[in-house]
Amino acid sequence: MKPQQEIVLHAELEQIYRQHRQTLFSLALTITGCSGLAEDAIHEAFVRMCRLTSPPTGSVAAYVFSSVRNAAIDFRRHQQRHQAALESIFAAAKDRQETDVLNRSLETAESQHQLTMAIDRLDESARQILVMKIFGELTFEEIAEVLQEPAATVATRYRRSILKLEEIVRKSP
Amino acid sequence: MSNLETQIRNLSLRSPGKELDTRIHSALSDTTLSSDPQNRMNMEVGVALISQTDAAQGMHASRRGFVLASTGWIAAASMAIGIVIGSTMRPSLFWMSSSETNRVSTKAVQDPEPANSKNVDAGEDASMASSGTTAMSKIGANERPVPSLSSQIVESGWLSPTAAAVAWEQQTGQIFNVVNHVNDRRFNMCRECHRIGG
Repeated sequence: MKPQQEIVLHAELEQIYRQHRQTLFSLALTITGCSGLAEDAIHEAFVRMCRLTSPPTGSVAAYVFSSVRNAAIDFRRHQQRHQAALESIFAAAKDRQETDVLNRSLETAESQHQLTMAIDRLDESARQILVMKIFGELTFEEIAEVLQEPAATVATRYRRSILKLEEIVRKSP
Repeated sequence: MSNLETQIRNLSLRSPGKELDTRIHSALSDTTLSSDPQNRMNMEVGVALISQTDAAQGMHASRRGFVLASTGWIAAASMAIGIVIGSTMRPSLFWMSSSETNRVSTKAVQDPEPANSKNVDAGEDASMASSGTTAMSKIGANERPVPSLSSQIVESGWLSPTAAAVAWEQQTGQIFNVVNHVNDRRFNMCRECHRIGG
């Protein structure tokens, strides 16, 4: 890769990190189930991307998400040999209560808690799609590129997840 | 976007630590530094300097090895020279120690009294000795030239008759005359000593 191309790519990577920092972390946390491992996975992914010899083809954002996802999968495989750790992508109940007391009513907080519980119960693939679509605002094509699946399949799975969540929220008191 | 999607978006997510930002920025800045042409050139200069330093160290090491090797060679050469000198000095020391015996012989040359010694002379060999070894008899034992390394093999065959001369003098009661002494190197023996009892 030419030096000029490297500079452009690194600038783009930095911009994507600033824009999707939270979403990348949530995606990695969805896979690893551990915030420390998620951070390590993101760092590892960016180090790998900085060593690229040729610029990625297609969407750079999708490439970054894909890299972080692959790194997180690698870290999870390594972690599963030692112990299984599962952390929610959402903030802890204590932290959530502090913000909720200030901003929202208890009723809203309760419904949000139900929603987070429902999302946590979804399968991993559905959670990944949800995170990338809602928090990352990626298109179905980009998500399909990350997951290496057809865009139509991704869209279908997303709609099914939303329907499932609506049903869970509706049933909850 | 549906109502549920909006609700999900409003959920507060777990945030990464600030260390992650530092790590990512450092990773990006490190590689950005390396990708900058000026910095890359500086880095290459640095690498060149490092390699030059390594080369200088290697040269220093090779010089050190050369010095050690040359010192070894000098030591070996000195030892060889010492061996040669030592081995050359040994016969001369022998001649100095046996000078008393030879001094007796020179006395016999100077003293015309013991004419009976001439009786002992062998015919033609004696004439050869009187004509050919006159110069040698004039030199005398103390003035005998120090044998060289190449002549040590010959000289070693020449020592035993000299030592035998002492025994001959003790046995016969006569004084050994160097003029009559014939050293036939072809047979590696002193004919006179051999004949009379040496």
